[in-house]
Order: sequence, then structure tokens, then C-alpha cells
Amino acid sequence: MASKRTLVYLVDDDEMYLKTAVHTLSQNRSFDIKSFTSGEKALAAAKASKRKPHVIVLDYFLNSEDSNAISGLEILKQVKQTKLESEVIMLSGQENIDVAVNSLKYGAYDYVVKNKSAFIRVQNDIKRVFRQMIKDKETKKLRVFVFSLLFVIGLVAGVAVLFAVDSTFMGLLPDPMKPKEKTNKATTENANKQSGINNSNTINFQDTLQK
Amino acid sequence: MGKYEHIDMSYLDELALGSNEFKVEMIESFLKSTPESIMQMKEAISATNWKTVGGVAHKLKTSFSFVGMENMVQLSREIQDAGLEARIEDIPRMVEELEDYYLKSEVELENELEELKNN
Repeated sequence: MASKRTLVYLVDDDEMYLKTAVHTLSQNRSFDIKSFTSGEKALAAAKASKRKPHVIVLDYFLNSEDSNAISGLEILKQVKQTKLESEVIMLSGQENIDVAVNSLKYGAYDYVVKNKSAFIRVQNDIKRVFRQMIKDKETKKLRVFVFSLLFVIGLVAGVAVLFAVDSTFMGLLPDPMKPKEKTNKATTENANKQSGINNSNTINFQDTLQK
Repeated sequence: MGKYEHIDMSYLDELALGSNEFKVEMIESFLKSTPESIMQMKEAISATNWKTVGGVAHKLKTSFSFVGMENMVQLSREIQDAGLEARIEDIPRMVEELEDYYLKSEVELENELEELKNN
């Protein structure tokens, strides 16, 4: 879905309506329109294509003539079950509360009656869906960026805390140089002992000289 | 109704957005598909397949609306409802009425088509 153009699938078994819909919606230059006379063909094309449709405009009564054809509602369910991420706008020839309720219940973005203002409404819906998709995508990108930033900040802060803790504890412990001095003193004393020099003797010798 | 008695091209004009080519295509589609649909309904009546009658009438509604035949839109809606509810007694008469009206409109549509092609 990287393109800035909106890919729209139009699905209707009424060829005259389909032609009119293609003609009307194609006037919008940011729409790429593909038309299908059955839901099965549309679904197969959507699954096979790399570029998935942003919006599927679907006639509710796709099986009005051919009872073997899959209904618009069934296609809607299948679209929602797959990972197409397409929004579905359901079209119906007449106002019917059951059709409207079923369409929205199964995840349709809108339910539009095929009256004279239908194409205007469909066009506005398509624009709104695409804008929302762009917005969602940007929000997702921003979220990933913020999480990455927080992770880096956390990491830097963690390292800084480790250093701080380390320094504090090092301050509380005896100076690492001191044990070394002790060791040197001890070594000197040992060496003196071995060479027969006694500090107390040296003092005594100096006392004698002073006397 | 203006120029014609049975049809009204104003909605199609509106949809065409200035394209005569589109209007020609639509009228040709209408003249081809409507007789086929009427025939399909008659066959379905003979086979007592009322659901198919209703389904075909459902599709005809939109076709009639494009050429401004509002009374046929209404009649198609009645056939659709009767077919889907299996109220069979009125269906054959209504389909006959629809066919008669279509035949009257056919002449006007052919005139319109010729006019569009000559422009």
C-alpha cells in the first residue's frame, strides 16, 4: 500500500451500474479503479495481487440473479477474515434496515443506497478511508520511532546508572591504591627482615650517636 | 418529461459528465440487456422460479432509473417484491406491462442513440 493513489475495486453483477460507477469514480484522478462482475473474481484478484485494494465497493445482492454466486455479505465476511486490510462499502438497491444492520455488523465501512447521490457518497467515503489509512500509517511510524527513541534513551540511562552506581560503590570501598601500599610496606618489611635491618635497631643507633 | 414521452435523459446526462461516448455505451447496454432480462423473467415464470423473477426485476430497477423510466422502476420493484415473497398471481401481468412499456421506450432510445452518434 505504498502508492499515494487509492486502489478501488468495484463489484456488481449489474453491468450497467458497474459501467456507470467506473465512469463516475474514474473522474477522480487519485483513484485507480478495477471492476468485477462477481465477488469471487474480486476476492481472487485481491488475494493474488501484490497491491491490495484500499476500498472494495460491493453490491449486497451479488447473487440476485445467479443463486450460485456468493452474496455481497459473504464476500464482506471473507474480506474481513483475510489480511487484506481493505475497507468495504456496501451498496444496495433499496433502503433496507436488515441490509444496513448486517453490513455494518460484519464490518462494512458504510452502507450506501443506490440512489442519485450514491456516487457522491461513495466517492466521499473512499477519500475518507484513504485519509484515515494514511493517518494510521503515520501514527504507526511515529509509534515505532517513539518506542525506538525510548529504548535508546532507556539504554543510555541504564548505562549511566550503572556507571553512577559503580562510582558510588567504589567511593565507599577503600581506595584500591591503599591495599597496594600496604602490600608494599609489608614487602619492604619482609625485605628488611631478610636483610637483617631492624627499624628499632636503627633508631637505637641514632640515639646512641646523639648521646 | 421534455423531449420524449417514455424516457428522460437528464439523469444519464448528469452521470455522463459531458461524455457522449458514455451515453452511447449505456443506451446500447440498455437496449441489449433489457430484452434479455424480460426474456429471462418470462422463462422463470414458466419454470415457476419466482426467486429468479424477483432477482432479475431487482437488477432492472437500476437500468430503468438511468434512462429516467421512473414508472418502470416502480413496477420492477413491485415484481421484485412479489417474486421474493412468491405472490405469484400478479407477476405475469406485471411482466407483460413492463415489456409493453419497454417496447414503447425502445423507439425513443434508438432515436436518441442515432442523434448521439451523429453529433
